[in-house]
Amino acid sequence: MKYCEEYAALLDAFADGECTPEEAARVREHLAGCAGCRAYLNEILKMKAAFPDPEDTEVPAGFADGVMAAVRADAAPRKGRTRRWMKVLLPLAACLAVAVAVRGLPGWNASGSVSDGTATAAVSDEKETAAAPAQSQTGTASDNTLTGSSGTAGSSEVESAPRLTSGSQRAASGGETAQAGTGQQGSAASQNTAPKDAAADPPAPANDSVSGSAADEAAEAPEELPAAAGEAAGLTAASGTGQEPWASSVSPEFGNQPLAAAAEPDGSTYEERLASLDAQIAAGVDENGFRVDSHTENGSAIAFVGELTGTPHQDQYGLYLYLADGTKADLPLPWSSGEGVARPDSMWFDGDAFVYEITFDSYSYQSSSEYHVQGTYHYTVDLTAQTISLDIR
Amino acid sequence: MKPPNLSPQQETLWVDRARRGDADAFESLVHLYEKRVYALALRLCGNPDDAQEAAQEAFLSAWQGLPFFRGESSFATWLYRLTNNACIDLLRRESRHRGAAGPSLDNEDLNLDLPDPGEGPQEEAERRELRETIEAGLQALSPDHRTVLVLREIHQLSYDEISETLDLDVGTVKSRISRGRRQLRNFLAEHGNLFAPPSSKASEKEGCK
Repeated sequence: MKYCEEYAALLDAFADGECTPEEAARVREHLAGCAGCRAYLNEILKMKAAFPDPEDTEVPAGFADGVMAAVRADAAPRKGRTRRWMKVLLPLAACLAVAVAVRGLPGWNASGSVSDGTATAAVSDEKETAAAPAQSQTGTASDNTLTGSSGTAGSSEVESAPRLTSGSQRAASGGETAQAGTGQQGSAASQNTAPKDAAADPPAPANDSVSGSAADEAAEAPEELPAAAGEAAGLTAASGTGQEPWASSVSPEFGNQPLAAAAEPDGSTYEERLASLDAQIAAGVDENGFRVDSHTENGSAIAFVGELTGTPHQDQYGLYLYLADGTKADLPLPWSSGEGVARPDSMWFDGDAFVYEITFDSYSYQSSSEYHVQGTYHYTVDLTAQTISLDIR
Repeated sequence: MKPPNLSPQQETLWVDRARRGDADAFESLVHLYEKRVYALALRLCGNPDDAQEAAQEAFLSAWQGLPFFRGESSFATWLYRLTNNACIDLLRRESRHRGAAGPSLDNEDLNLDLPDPGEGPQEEAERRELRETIEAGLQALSPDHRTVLVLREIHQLSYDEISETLDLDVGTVKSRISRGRRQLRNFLAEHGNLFAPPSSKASEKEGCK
């Protein structure tokens, strides 16, 4: 005895009390004359009754204590914790506008001032700290200023690097950018099922990454999701060669953007910069929790990966580039997840270009925000033009 | 979906206080929801270790994200969403580390010991067997189907709430529930005696004894 295909889905909704009255009436009428569907409905109801009650779940001993220990260690949730974050997040705000311009390309962000360990984001008042990221993150895209008690670092750096275009200037230059910014804030917010009011609603520093993502993509995203390792492997293998000739298809939304400034030349020489980075690598984590992870150079420019340790969830990475004249640029990295950006898998100099790549073996999203697509993010910095392009392969 | 014995006002109060940084209020919420969050994580992750980690991560995310929670969905829905995300993140991390192994499907791991419902040993054994078969069936489903069914049947969310939690449209929720349930039904028909008609399976079983 078999149920009727055309009623199967309706029977489920019926059993769940999710039918409209009209549907319910139709189902009842059908059930009266169909033994197969009656039997199926009975099975559904039996199954439903057999599911356990979550209150019967045995939670591992000490679970709540563990959570609370972590919560209290994290103490003052978005205050003390934010302190260190601010140094990353505020300069990041300056570049948010770029991220925003690149709808569907998660990961435009940068962390400027933290890299040299002399971040000036003066965060003194905890209350202000809690409020500041909200204002500055959202404010930047449209009003060109970093606000709040700790906003000075980002803006002064931006201004002091005339050769590079600041994130804010970029934001101001394109109407589309500002608009996209609103959308982005919105999607970041909705991730926490938070309000639609973008201006009043900052992305959560730790859990919410920003990344533009069309709602319709997001809606279907979970279908792809089970992070199927098998599927992922294929793509990784195909795209992981790394040294393919560059510039096959520059993404139209993200081609030849000006570099974002992190700091102007400080008068040091190339050799001194190299020596300083080596010293920082040798010294390990500094008092700000920052360490230099690695660097690569071509005789005039130096790129290095920095890592901010001790942040919740995962360490935060930054990728920086000293141009020949000592100007420091802050390079974008894609979001790896809600907690931060990805670390570059590989980076190298190729003639007059600096190239770096990050490969994701699966698509990542959270709610309506896309962190990254599956594939290799291939970034190319034109050292002469001081622009950067992204190609996702 | 509301935990028992608690007025919505009390929960709202705790959420408000926790949002303003009151860790004690948050602790109350943790106690209120730990079973539900862990129960969800356990089904999604498939083993207690991962479930514990993901559930913990979900609560931490909640604590950190609370200032941005404005109550447009219920706290429960929001928390389940964070749990789902934490599980997905964790499984993805693990699958990367372990290669293609994927989540453990070992039902023994589920460790779903139930308190004695006060029935005779016979009924208790039957009930336990049925539960175990359901759990095994859930683990045999695709993660998409499993997630909606768990939220529906264990957490008792409405289709709307599920769609909110998972950011799916209601039509997708509906079809996943229907397809998931049919798969589960087929699994139970093969592995359990839930649907055993008077004839075949029951008599087979007797014959074995």
